[in-house]
Amino acid sequence: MLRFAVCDDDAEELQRIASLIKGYNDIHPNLEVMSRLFQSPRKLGAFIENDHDFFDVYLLDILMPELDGIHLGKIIQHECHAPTIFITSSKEYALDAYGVHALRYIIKPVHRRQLFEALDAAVKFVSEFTKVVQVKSQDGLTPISPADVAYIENRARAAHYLMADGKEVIGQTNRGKFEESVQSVVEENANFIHPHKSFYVNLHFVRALKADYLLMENGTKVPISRRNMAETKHIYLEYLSRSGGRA
Amino acid sequence: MIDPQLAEYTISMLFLLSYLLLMLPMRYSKRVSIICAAVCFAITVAIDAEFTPWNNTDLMTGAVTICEAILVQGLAFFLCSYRDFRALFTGLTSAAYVLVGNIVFSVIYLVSGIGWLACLFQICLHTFLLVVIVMMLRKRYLYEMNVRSKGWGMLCLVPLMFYTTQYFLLSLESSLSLKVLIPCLCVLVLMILSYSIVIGALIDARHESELERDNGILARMTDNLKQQIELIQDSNERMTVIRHDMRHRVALINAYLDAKEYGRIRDLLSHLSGELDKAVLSRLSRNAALDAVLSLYSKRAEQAHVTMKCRVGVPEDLTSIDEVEYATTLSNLLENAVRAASEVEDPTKRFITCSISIVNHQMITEVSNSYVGDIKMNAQTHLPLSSQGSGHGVGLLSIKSYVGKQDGLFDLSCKDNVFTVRISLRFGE
Repeated sequence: MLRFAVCDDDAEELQRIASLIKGYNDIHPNLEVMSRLFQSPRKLGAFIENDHDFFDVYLLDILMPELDGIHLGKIIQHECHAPTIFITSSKEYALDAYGVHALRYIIKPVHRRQLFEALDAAVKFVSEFTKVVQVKSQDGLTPISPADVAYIENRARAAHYLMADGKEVIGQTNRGKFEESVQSVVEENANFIHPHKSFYVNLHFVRALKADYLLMENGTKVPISRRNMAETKHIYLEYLSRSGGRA
Repeated sequence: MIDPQLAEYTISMLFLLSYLLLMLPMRYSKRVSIICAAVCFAITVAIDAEFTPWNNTDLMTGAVTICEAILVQGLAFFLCSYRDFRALFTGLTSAAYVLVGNIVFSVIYLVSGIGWLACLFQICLHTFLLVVIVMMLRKRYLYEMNVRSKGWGMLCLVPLMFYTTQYFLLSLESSLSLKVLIPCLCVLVLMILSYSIVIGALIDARHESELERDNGILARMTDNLKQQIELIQDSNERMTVIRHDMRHRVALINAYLDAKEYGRIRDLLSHLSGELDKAVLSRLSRNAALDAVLSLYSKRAEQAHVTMKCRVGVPEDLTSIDEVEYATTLSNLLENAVRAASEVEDPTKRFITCSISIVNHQMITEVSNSYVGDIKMNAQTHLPLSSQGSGHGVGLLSIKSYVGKQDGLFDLSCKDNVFTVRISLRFGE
């Protein structure tokens, strides 16, 4: 199920957007969509910061009393990195919206086509992060979310999946090529690169690209072979550019 | 008991190869380079042990020396990223570097007759010189190697001349004596002085070129700000006119309202909205310096009928990034982009996109533009060759150099007639 949070101090506008989301769900009946409406940004902020009750997609107005949408967007990015769509009457805040990596910035009045395009982008973004693949591990079949895999290492002829939470899933001994054994995981997420013959890396968890290695969020250094250096740099910069400007 | 002369040659070769490994811009990985150097070392030691040049005829000695020189220079060429005079210069300089320790060995051995003492002095001097060279010169030397591709051929004459002079001086007498070694020491001192002068001249030239570059940056920045001021003045003038006319327009709107001529009111408001759009300068960035650059090039793009889209998500304060240098870098990128896009024949296919954002403590800048024709790349700099002739095309080189100094990343690509430059700079760390 996809959970949307809509926040606008104007009750009429809130209902209008909720109705549009329902219309979106009618066109995509396979998607299970649930919307929760918030007229108070402070209440939504409390949900996120205190209750850690995260939604999949946030649609926020910007000019609101108590707490403006940009600040709320920063809280969302800090807590859960969920895609955010800003819906506002003024172009002036577009610059600030880019600063919180907004997915889209829509000027009121909201047109159906515009909102649906933004919701398509949000759904695509979320689906990439929720896919699960069954991997043959030493403990049998283990479900792995490719979006949560930081990197995969070929060690002693077995694929080691290092997860973002620090856990490690060890695949079965590999009789064939390393690339073929991890294909089912790697092809489900567009953020994987192959900087070295023994490594696949999820760019989402790369902290920096150094002279001849990728520095991961957990401090691990993944080597880059000389042959792959130029391409790795190109793909990494392309990824950062894409991540920074979703709007 | 090892022959002192064999020990001298072995120690000398070890330090010579160490110098090459440290001072050459490497084509291969450290491991491969060290293995190649080790193989070269083994071969030269085997040749020295087998032929013991000091017990042979001059012809044989000469032949062995030439053979080893070819081996060492060949290794330098093989390992170096640049297979040109830069490799040769480094190879010749390595031979000149070990000459100092070798001469000192000869003097100590001649005076004391103690082999191990002479070897100890040789090792200490080699080590001392290597440490000084690496600590004081290596970074600048490698930088010059990467940036400067011309002039190394002439510089090769310096070590070649001194090495040849020393060799002939030493070969004048059948055995070593102070009569020979003292002039050798003098030539050595002259060599060290010559190197200091040459290196000093190179460093001065680099400083001058950096000053010129900085002046260029300031001049470009001043120019940008001047043009931004003109835009603001122009905007202010238009706003003054609009304010002046507002009273009349309000009177007109009231008259239309009384006459229920709503269509005319709509037309008037639409016209007024258009005037306001032209008069008001839209802000493209919270940072004033970037806003100046982006506004300026937006205007230039508009004049050249190029569609320019900007998406900038950076704070007012760029913290660790020098605003002036960065704004000039951005100017360079947009200047190239506007020029290239304006040459596209079909105006509907002329576009530029510029995005600047902060991701993972890095400021990512991407500028893409349409272009026509083929882009040829410089084999050494891996940057496009300028179509405007020599002396031009330094914009991207200067950007790449700036990014390198900031420990950032630089990448460019040409695909489907779209040219894209991406740079990443550390932000806030």
